[in-house]
Amino acid sequence: MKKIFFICLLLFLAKEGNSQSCGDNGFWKIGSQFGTERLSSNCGDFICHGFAAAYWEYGFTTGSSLNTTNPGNVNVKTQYTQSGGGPTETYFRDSSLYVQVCGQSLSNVDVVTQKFNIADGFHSLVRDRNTTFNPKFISKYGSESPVIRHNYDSTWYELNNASKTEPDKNYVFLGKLKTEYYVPKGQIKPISLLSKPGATYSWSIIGPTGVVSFTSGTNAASVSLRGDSFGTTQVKVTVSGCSGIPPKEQIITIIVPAVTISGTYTTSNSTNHTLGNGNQVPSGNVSTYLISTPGVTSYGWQRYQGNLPFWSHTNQMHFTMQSGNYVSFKIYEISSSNDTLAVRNVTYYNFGNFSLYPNPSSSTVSIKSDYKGTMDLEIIPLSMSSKIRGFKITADEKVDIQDLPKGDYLVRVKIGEDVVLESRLMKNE
Amino acid sequence: MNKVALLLGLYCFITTACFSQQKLLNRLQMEIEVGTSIPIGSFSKSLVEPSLDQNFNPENQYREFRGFVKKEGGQAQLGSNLGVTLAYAISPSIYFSLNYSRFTNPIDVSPQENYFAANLQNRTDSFGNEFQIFGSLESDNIQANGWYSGFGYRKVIATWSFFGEIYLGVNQLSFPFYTWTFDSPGPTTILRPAPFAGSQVPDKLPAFLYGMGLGLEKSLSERISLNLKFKYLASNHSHEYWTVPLVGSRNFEIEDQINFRVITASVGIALRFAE
Repeated sequence: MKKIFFICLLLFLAKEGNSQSCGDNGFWKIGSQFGTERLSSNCGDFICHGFAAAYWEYGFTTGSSLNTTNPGNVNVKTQYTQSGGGPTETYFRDSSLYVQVCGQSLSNVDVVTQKFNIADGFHSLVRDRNTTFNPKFISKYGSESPVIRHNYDSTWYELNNASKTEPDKNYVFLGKLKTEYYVPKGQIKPISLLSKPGATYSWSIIGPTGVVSFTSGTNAASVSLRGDSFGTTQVKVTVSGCSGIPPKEQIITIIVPAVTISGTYTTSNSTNHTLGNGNQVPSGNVSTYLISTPGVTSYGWQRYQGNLPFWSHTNQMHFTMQSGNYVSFKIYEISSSNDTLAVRNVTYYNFGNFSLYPNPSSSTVSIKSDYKGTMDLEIIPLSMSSKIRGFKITADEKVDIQDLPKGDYLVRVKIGEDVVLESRLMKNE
Repeated sequence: MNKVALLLGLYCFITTACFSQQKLLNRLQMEIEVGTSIPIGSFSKSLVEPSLDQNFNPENQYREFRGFVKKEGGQAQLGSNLGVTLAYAISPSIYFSLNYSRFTNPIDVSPQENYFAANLQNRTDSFGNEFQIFGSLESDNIQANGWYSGFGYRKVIATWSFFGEIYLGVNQLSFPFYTWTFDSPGPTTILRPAPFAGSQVPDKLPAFLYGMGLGLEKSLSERISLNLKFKYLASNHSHEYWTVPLVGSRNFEIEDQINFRVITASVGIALRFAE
């Protein structure tokens, strides 16, 4: 009984011995005389179509990078393994991530699909993205070969004199858009596919209008969208390649979330000021608290003007205002999926100390201040019926008051709408 | 495990019979039988469809073979069996037996090869050129080793006895390895079961065995008799594996089952240990 078993075992092993392992350079025709070289010794659970798709879409999960000096193992993403239901020979034809192009040089081609005159002789190969001039290609044959780099016409099939039973099809990889994009109201968001020669792009809004609008041309690989009003809509990009070949489409959902940023701040003098776009605050500590919004899981505080140090944590931010200083922030409200739902710019400023001099005066007056911008100065008579005079001045600029009648006046200094000084002026003869 | 238990039981029987109680020895009978193994039912039927690509894409133009799938059949042909039986008479008419049978049945690959020749051999490429691919299928025979026990009833009339038996046990089928070879004007493609994606090609396919037997026996002397025995034996061997093409672009996961169904017709010679 044992003898019979061992005879069977030997016969089985002998039969197995006839098959080629991926370590066999001779069988796989690997060598410079063939125009081929081994890149990896992996004979893993992926075949040419899955390898080609993963090469452009994901890269490789483990193992060394593809190179000739250190052939190692290469694994593709799980869904592109053969046992995981990986892509078949029609993947590139059907996938919206690729479009067939015609009349392009091999340097512009990402994937080539071929059909040879052997049973199940479909093959997909990818252009080595590191080469453009005189490009090289990478192949993986079935699940039993190593990963091989070769000249375009030096696939294993061609080296074994198989002939093609249909013309090669050349594809470019377009990239994959997310299914959903958030565009905060009033903000502009760029959305991009890869720009590939031989492909033409056309973007359009196919959902409700008025939610977003294009702020760029719509016939390029990239577009910019501005959030116009709260709501949801759909945008479609159509990519055409060879004439006569159905174009590929990707449809994305654009959401302008109904999220606004609001809050309050406290200063060294008072509490619960409503947060505005511009906030005049006194010198000292300023603490801002944003109101929590459903769907918002994190906040971002980005200082884009000024140099005051600040400390932020989730929805609160603290800093110390200095006299005559300012600081501006972009505040971001962010969802759990790391999408920005709303953006708001706020500025905190302090004009510092203003004083009128000389006072009393008979000829000129000036405003003493560290403020460098222009101020509106009004001279309002208090005891006579003469008209109010107005000036635009800067600090220490002299205002001629010689022609004013002797008497008492109110001097009011404004920066924008903010009154920063009101002082009594005594005009002498 | 079942084999070990059976061997242990057999050993106990023999030791007990030889060294302990002389009466037991008188009740033992050993028999060697040889005969034919006739496949019946689905075990002999041919099904080509399960062997074809089940995820056929019309763009492929030709629906290729994914392997050699039995699908509860076997495509088995007339074969042979060889057996050994040790029987113990509980009473003059009732006995218990331990049996070993080895079955060998060739597998008919011609339906698949004929289908290939008729449908896939002559091809036309998209340039309008005609070419041929020759497909050939080689397969191991069905080899099975049955270890089973039986209970029998015997009716003795003069020097003749008639008996009937029922069987329970285990049947260990050797996985019938096969290879598809596709010869084309260019390279040759080979498709066969192979380790893939962490799964191994099954080697042994053990399964529960059951059956029944009928026969008649002629005593030639007090110790020797000849018999003619017919057995019906059945077992279902489910298994799964991958077929992997050398070079080709797809692998196939095969979930399969071989329903072993045979009628054996054997002649045997029996030796009684009675003094």
